[in-house]
Amino acid sequence: MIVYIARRMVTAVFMLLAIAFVTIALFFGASKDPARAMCGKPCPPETRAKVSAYMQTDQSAVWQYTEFVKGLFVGRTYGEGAQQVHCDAPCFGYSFPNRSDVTTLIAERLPVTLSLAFGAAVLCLVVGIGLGALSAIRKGGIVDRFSTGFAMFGLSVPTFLVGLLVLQVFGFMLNALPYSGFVSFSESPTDWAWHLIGPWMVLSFILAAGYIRVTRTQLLNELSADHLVAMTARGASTRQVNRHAVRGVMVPVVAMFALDVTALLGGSVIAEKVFSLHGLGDLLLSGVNESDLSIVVGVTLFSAFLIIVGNLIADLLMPLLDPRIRRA
Amino acid sequence: MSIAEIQQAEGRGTPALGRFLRKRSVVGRFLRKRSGVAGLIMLVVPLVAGLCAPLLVQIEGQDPSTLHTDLLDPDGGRPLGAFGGVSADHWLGVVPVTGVDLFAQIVYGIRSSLFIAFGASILSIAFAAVLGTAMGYFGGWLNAVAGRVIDFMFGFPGLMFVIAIMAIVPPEMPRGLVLVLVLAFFGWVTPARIIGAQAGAINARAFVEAARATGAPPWQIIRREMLPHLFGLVVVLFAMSLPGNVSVVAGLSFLGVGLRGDVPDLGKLLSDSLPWIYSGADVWYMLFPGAVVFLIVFGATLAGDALRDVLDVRTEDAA
Repeated sequence: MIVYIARRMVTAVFMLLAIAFVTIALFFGASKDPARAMCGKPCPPETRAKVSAYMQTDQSAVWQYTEFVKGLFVGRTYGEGAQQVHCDAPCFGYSFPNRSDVTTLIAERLPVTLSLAFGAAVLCLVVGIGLGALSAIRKGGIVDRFSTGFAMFGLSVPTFLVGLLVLQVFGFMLNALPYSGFVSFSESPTDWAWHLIGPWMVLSFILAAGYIRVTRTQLLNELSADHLVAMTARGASTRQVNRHAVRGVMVPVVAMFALDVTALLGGSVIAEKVFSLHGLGDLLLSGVNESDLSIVVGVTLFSAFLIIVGNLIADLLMPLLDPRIRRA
Repeated sequence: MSIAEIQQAEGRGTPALGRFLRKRSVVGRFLRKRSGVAGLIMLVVPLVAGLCAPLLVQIEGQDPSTLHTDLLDPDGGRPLGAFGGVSADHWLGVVPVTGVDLFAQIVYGIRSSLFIAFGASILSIAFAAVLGTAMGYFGGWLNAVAGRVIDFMFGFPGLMFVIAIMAIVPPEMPRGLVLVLVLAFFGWVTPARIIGAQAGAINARAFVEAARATGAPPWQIIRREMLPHLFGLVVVLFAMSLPGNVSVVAGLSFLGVGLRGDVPDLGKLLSDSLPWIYSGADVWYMLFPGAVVFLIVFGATLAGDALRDVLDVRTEDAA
């Protein structure tokens, strides 16, 4: 068991290092020179070289990679003397146009994206597993037919279309929900939830589909499995049988959720755009529009970090749910 | 009779693809599925409209770039008339502020969106098929290495990474082609895993073992014994990857990192329509292109699902 955990954690760290390398190597050769954007107009070559040296974009890709990884643990310093700026650990780079380290920028936006992702995850798990279980119990019934159609819709419709529709219908036609803005949880939990219901609905509508399908198929499989049929035959109560069936459903659901962290982050980029929320996705897009590569690299790597942590948690949960993995 | 002649008589000498297509029962069974046929129609109508875009726009008597500012409300720039200015001249009305014909924009937009989505799906599934088959047949270290790479790809923050890449595409590169390559780069991962698992299972079956025992060369085993069993899966995976790519292409344009310049594009139309929804001034500008994207994506999903049922393949990820 300890070996299993250790192996998973080492793999996760290597994955992160590899993704960081690919990302930095890719952006190193980018056509948009960050120093060019910072240098202003007119930009004589010697000024540009100075700016580039100051931003440390004149170094090799390997050097930038090691500096970046080092910066994550001990921080990083740019320039000398009066112009010196320091970026505390964990340093995800320094955004010169914003005169701020990327870690601070991410920290400012993170609550929005986390609120969005957390609420959507809860909602989609409740709806997905609930509808999936109900349709498995009454197979072919009205709930089953409704949720099969619902899943079909959710699996196919693009996130931004659902977002635009929710915005249009609930925000403007019915005037029932606020169409933008974010209130922090500590300020007012009810306002927080109220402002996020729209984006939550959008994201969970898209994601719930998969859970409906998996829960339904898996529960049907479990309920007809030999050991549960035998249990029922011996006179075990429905409650007891269900308890065993649920265990079998949890494993694929957790596995799926780990993969959906990626979808959740991607979806929130779009939901943030539709509902004008200022989260990580918005930060990434602003980095793209302002050609601020340090933000683009920082946010991308931070997202990779979230995804890999999500996968790691799922990997660690799995053996608790399924003893076969524990023994393997 | 020589062995070749016997094989000819049994139809075994013909390529696997030909044999697959000749199973007319597949087409027949698909046509008997109402949802599949409905989906196919939803997909094919916009597709044909996109292919015949210049013709259709000529019939309408418009073009995708003329600015009809006379049809706009001078105060605020929204189209005059009901449904965003729908008329006999402008079948779906005109775009606010610029007054460009919306129908022309949409049919030309379908063109670029579907071209990119098809390109990306073909590339990614072809690569997945080759890699997956090789993983299944050769197994061993190839399977282990490819499996590692696939795990690695799952750690990438998909959409965010695509956005980041699209941000640094040099202006002289054709963005459409880059989009195809980027989407294909992320699209092969799950299909390759599914095909690999399936090919591995087939590779372990007795008839492959028998072929190997007769001393058939690897290429022949793959082509004669394995590929016929994988075609269905590959076709279904292609059909299922298409709607995803259509919505990602539209989504990227929606976020402002897809196609640029004055190439008409569905996602760009939707993105441009956002301020008009915010001000509540013009709903139709969003609804028409939105409906087209919905039709294509939903239709492709329905058709893909029906195809999967008809061909009876399992696409659940085994891992």
